[in-house]
Amino acid sequence: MSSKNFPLSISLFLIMSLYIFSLPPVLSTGDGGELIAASYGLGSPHPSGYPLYVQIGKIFSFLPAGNIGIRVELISVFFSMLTLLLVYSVVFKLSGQNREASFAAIASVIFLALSYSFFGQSIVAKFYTLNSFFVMFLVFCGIILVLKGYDRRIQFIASFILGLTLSAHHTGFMMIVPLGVVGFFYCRNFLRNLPLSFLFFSLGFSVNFYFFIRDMKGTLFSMIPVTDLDSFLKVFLRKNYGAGSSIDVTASGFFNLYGYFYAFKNYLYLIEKNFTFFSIPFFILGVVWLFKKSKKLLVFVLTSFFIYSIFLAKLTFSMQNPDSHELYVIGHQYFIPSFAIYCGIVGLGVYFIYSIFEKYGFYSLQRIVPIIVIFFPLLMIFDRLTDQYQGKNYVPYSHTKGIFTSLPVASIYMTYGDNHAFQGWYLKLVGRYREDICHIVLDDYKTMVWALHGCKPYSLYKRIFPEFFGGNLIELTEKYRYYSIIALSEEHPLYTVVDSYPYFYIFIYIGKQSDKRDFDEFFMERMKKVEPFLNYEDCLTHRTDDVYTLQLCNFSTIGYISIAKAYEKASDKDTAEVAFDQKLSYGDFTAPFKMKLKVNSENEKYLNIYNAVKKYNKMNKFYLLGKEDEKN
Amino acid sequence: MKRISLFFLILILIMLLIFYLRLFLQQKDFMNKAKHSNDSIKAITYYERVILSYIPFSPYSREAVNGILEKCKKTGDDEQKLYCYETLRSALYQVRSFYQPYREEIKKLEPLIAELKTYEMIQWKYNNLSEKDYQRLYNYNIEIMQYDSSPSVFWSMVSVLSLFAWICSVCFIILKGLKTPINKRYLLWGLTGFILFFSLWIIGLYNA
Repeated sequence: MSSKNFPLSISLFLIMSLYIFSLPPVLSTGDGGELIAASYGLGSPHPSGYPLYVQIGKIFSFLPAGNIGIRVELISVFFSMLTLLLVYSVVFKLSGQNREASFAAIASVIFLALSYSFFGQSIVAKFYTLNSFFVMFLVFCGIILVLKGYDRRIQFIASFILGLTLSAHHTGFMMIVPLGVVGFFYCRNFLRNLPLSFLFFSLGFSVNFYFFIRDMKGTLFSMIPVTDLDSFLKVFLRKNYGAGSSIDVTASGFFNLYGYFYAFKNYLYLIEKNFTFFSIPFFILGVVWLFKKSKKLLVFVLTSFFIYSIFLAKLTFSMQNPDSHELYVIGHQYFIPSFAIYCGIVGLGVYFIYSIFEKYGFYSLQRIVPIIVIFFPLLMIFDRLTDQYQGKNYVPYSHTKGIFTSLPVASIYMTYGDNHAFQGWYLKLVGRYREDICHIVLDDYKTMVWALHGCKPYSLYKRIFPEFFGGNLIELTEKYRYYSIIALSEEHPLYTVVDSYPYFYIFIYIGKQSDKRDFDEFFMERMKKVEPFLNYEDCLTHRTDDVYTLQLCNFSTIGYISIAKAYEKASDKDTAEVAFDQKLSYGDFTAPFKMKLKVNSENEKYLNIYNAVKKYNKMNKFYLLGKEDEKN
Repeated sequence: MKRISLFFLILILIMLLIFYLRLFLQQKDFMNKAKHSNDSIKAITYYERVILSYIPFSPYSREAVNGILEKCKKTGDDEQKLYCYETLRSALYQVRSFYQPYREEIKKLEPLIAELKTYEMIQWKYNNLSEKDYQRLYNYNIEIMQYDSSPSVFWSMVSVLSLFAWICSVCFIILKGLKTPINKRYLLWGLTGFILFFSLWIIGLYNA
């Protein structure tokens, strides 16, 4: 290693160590469980199916260390490092390619690496860093093309990668616009090589054959099986998301143009939260530097930035006041490529200042300042260790395991929404824990249409669930073997037939005709039986502000109240009651949760746990929510 | 090309080294906690976390497996025993790679788990089952546990490595074969590699 590369190597080593030590120890929340299960089983996760990610996940799942979950999470670290290296290369190539350029590039790399969202996506099982890598690679191709002049090989490579992006995350394909702009600069050569480019694009796209081949024989896990062109288009174009399908979302970029105002406002908010407004002057200086360097380069880089910032925000993030869910699933994830480009331009702005030092003869400043500047973004480490560190976050694993453990043998467990469902799939399909449980997933709160990924093969499960597969759900409820994360409200079709009662972390469904006294006896007995499996420590030590983790911990508080209820005594008659009157939300629907509890010396500790978990997992911990929401 | 390959190799190597270090520290920490815990359920959880931080040849992994087994034997309650055996089996399945560590332990655990589940089903007073149903239910439970729907390790490896290889072949064709003027030798090599690995990818995916 030459001494020139030493600071870069040290920085990358430090960042990589930080990422690896921050990985959730088993699985991350949200899509994590699903992507790990799909990678392990070479299956197909939710549309658009992400076949490239899944296959890379399969390679990583073979690593002989750790568990399958954390191995798949390593993909994000790997592609994060490659993205950072590309950011370094872009800044270095576009600046003076000297010592100061190297330091400016390192500063921008650290700035990006330790920003809230980039850090967050680098440590979870998700495809956003893979996508960022592709985008930055294509940006790099465009820059080389402009700097070194036309080379058909770069056009072919870019076409191939564009094809590949359609098997990773569709937003990567949006690079076709800035690359088209570069193609326009070299119009004749570009058009002459277009047919061959299309061939290479098709080769990249052919990774999507994966769906047809894998679904031909049925895999361990396939969200929507692809059997023909129609089903392929349904998955590929995300048609099942309705207005959220790829085509409809893209089309929305060209309507309701006032939405660009909110898109700009919301994106600016993300910039402020990730990089602070202090970064904006450097960004502007970077733009000036690009203008000085080459107009073509400026047009290409700014088009790339616009597409992944304001335009993407218009498509997905142009609501008037984004709530915590939108900030988490959109703001925290989709804009990672734009942040990479942003930091690249900021790095150029920093270099611009160094070049001014040189121009005016401030040589001592030119030598010292670049080194000092590196330490400023390094300070962000402390922030990330308090909000994004997930090295001790066992919540998604232990919460799901706690639920499975509490269920009697041969029970139905019904989930709704990504968080509970995906983690259940991980535990059931990868961990093979409690294979006697049939895990079903409701598609829509208002319907009884469910997916049966968690009890395959049906031929074997039919034997221990003849009631369920025979369509007699009431018989199962009478046997106290039907459990769900859903508390029923009037909107739910089962509401008229069964009642839902809290059961440990979840709910049990009991037929309306059942004797309530029998149930009370059952409840007391079961809660005392499962009490030793109560795990609240993980919800008090996870250290992250991850929204889904906080939600899981808040959801688990039902368990502490249920157990406290089971330890009520007959002698408590005259004791004051504590009333819990809450609303549990399931997407757009809410269900009531009401319970009255008489507190005594025996059950008081569960109430204390309840309060402690609620306090530690306040939803306003989420960094992107901002100070105004924190006050509310 | 050589520099890029070397870079990737070094990156992966360093990544693995840091990863192993993290796992080792985790194992050490949880092993300590497991040994000092008086609560058997908590101790099982800590042992499970040692196994989930699996490192080949680490003495901690074996110690944790034995630790859980010992706790399982001491537990009198059937439901806790089931939790104990299931935790061990699940943790071992979660650390499988191209090989299954502690395969023998899993083989021993499965009949024990099936037996416990069958008893639990019969003893569940709301089920209306009796001892007569034992063998039938036992068979159902053991069949579910022994059914492995995970893809074939060999064919999975063939397919994913072939995918990587044909992507590299396409890059090779572009970068080396399509120079100006065209290098026919590299082009031929690249094309051969692409056809071979693409076919292997398809075959691997189908057979996995």
